[in-house]
Amino acid sequence: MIDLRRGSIKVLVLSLLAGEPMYGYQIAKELERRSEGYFDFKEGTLYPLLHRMEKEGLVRGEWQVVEKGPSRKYYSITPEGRKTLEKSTAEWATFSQRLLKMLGQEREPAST
Amino acid sequence: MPYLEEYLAHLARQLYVDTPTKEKIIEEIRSHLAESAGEFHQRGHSPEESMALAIARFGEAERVAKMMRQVYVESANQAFLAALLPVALTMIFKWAILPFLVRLGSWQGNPTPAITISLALLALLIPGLTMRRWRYGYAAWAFFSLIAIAQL
Repeated sequence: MIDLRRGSIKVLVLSLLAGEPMYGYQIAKELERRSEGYFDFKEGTLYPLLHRMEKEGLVRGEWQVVEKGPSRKYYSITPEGRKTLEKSTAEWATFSQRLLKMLGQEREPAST
Repeated sequence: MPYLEEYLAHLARQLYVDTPTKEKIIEEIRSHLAESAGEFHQRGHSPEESMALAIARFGEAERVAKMMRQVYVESANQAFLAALLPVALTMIFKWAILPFLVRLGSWQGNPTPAITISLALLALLIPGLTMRRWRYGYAAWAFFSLIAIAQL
């Protein structure tokens, strides 16, 4: 289950960035808020993922100077990132549907 | 805040990436930890406690550095291998394909400019697929390509 959650962080981050550009801390907080703590992970693991996605051309990082406080690196989704998000969303939908269907088929004989 | 600086220095020592990249990574993490600690402070923790909690939520420096290294070292290795490809292709062409064609009697002499250009274009395509957005990759590729052209 932990592996499944880890594997889904990439698509979740892309999904967040499809809405608006965000910086690392904001992404971590939004993931925590929207998943109600279900996708709990060490925040530091988010940065290697963001940097990897930047190298893969899925997101674009841009430093912005903030008037009060330190500069922030905002990440925005690229057209390639949107394609990956679309593809991954479809794959996750198929995966969860198939899994639920199989589990449902296995449960039916047990309940009768 | 000494705890923060100690953590960042510990992380930086294990990154093994070029200095500008390292500075940017550290700046980004510093900004994250400062904001996270600020949130704990607002909830009533002392500044020291807040930073300790922020760091605990961020994760061990070794683990973050290891994951970050994998991102940069992996792409550097990929780019280096891709940059070597033109040389490998040239060597294969020069030492294997060309002698084979000559032996068959269908080709005498050096490759024509058209063949050389086609080979160069083929070599150009391969690193282009793997070195996206990696600035040193193309420089390395250009260097190895020049060696490959000199070999022809």
